[in-house]
Amino acid sequence: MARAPSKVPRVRSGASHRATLRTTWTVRVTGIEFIDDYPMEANGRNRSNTDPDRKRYATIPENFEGWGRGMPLTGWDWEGKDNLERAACYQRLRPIHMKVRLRSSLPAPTARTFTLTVTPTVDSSKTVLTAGTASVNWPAASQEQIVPMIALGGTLPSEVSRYHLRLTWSVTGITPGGIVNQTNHKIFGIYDDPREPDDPTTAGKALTPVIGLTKQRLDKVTLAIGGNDRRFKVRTANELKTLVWHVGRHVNNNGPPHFYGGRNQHVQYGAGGPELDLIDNWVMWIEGTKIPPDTGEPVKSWCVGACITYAQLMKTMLASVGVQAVRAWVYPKTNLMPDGTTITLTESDLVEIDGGATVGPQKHTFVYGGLTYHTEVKLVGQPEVNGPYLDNFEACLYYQGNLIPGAFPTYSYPASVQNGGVGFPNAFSLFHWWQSIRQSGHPRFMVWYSDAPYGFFDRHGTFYSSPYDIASRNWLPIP
Amino acid sequence: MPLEEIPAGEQLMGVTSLPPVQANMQFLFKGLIWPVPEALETHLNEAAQSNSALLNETVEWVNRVLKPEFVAPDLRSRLRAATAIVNGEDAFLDRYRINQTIVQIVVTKFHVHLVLAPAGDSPVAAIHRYLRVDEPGQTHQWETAWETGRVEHLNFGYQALSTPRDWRESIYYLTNGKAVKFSLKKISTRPGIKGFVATTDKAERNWFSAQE
Repeated sequence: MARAPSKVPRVRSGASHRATLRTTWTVRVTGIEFIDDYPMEANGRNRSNTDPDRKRYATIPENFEGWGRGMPLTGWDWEGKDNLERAACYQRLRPIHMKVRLRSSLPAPTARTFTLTVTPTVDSSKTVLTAGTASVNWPAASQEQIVPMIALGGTLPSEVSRYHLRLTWSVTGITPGGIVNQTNHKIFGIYDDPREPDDPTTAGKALTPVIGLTKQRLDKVTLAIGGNDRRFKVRTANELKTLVWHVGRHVNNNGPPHFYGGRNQHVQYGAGGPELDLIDNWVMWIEGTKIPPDTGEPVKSWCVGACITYAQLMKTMLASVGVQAVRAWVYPKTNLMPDGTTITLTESDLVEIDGGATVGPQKHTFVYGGLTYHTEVKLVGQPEVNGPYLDNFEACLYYQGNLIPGAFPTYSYPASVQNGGVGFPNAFSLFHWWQSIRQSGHPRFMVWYSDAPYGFFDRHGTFYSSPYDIASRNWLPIP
Repeated sequence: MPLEEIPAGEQLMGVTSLPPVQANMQFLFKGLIWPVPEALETHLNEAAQSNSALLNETVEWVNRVLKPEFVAPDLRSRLRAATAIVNGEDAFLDRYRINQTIVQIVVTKFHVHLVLAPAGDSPVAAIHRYLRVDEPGQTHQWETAWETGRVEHLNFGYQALSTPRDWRESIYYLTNGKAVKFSLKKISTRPGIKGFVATTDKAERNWFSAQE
């Protein structure tokens, strides 16, 4: 009688036997955490409190499409497989440090010491950063060890950039040695500590604690600064000016954002709805569902902004990479008063730079038809459905003497400003350009305006109920 | 507190037609004259009346401006929408007597007009008495002196401002001493804005058709 076949596989002899048993002690990298970097957060959608999202604006029923702030990203940045949607952020000229988790194929039969080496390429370059090593002491019987810190050689370049970092991990001092892993990462290099996006001072102040850095936001700002390569050198003051200009150009020339004049620097939801924190002005990049921003206004994307909101978006984007710029306002003013006297206006009469001296609108009081009109100079734009559009000011971003207006495409700027690549050199040049722009073919011009009682006055102090009845020869002269 | 209706033909300040004032003063009389019953009937706009967005906005503004003790509890169902009804403008209207006070409400596209009686000692005191201008524990102070005058036996006052920052700054009044009309612009608080539309009388006429 034949025996039934055994259910236990027979032990084979020789080489084929050895192949079925794990007798070789090897290690591999199972976790990488970038350390001494800036804290990052997940891309937020404001849809739920289920991680990685965070619903920070409960009364705004909108999808933030990743422009919001999600949960803080802590712990391992890499665990077994590449995830290029998770990035780390360092300051330029700083080294890259990592904590590493190693796992062995078997519990170590005896204690041992070996060297872990990490060899980087940065955007395929082997010279930007160099290899780093760490000695690893592995106790007997252990199957997992944490290397508390391994540093790459060198520092990040003086750039505001996004890098593709490829790391080759190898071990020496054990057998078998050699390459154990290759991993890929996205690393951002920023200029300085992220700045407080509302701070009006020239130096700014570091944002403490650092919040608001997300992969989607840093992708965007490095695209604005460095183009598709996302690399931009910042070694000189002039290069920083160009960096600021690039952000201004990107915000003004790439839609959305959507313009609506009835806004301040904050994005606001609807007419009376909540305002978003300035660190979240990134939501202006959303196309957005359309709602009336104010009573009687046509529907517009919910995240519309005026020129100052655009300027704040620039400021917020720059602040995220540690570059401090400030808001500024250029006022329409005339050098001819209604009584015929001529006044001399200086640069400081035209522009208010945030944190500096207050500069208000130009005022004059008229008495007409038994009523008193406290007027201000306004720049009249094109007629809209509900009446003439009036500008209080043109809001800008100010950086090191240059002005970049908000909500005007840079290709509408004078050629000299476009070619200069830093913005308008002063408020007068900006003002002359601003008032000369036609809106849908309509000229823009200055008048004295009062809302209560309603009325307009020309250069001679003559009353009008509509500014469009004023002949061009009677518009207020431009200084 | 039960509401009492106000007789249909009664004009609260005795003015039955726009007085012959010059053009720049006509705004003072907006929202004053209550339409005759026939006009109200023939100009009723049922579509506007059932438009929840318009109705919500109107009720919200009345509640934002008028103290709760002077708002009819069933205001939403009392309001009537009529086309070209007050100064040729589309409006929601209502009026009643509540808490010994006569309240007349006219809400147009850009303005809220309220006629209230009794007028009290002074128009500014009446503002504090009837309107929600004050913050809790803090009496609102206007930064600009009231400009005052007299026209057609009525006293008026206004805040002369180039750009009112919110509805409180846009208030102007007209009074015969017995009743007082407050008019204000629907301006939400939003200082420091880039620009704005200087709304015109012409644009204010067509509120309801602009929604279609």
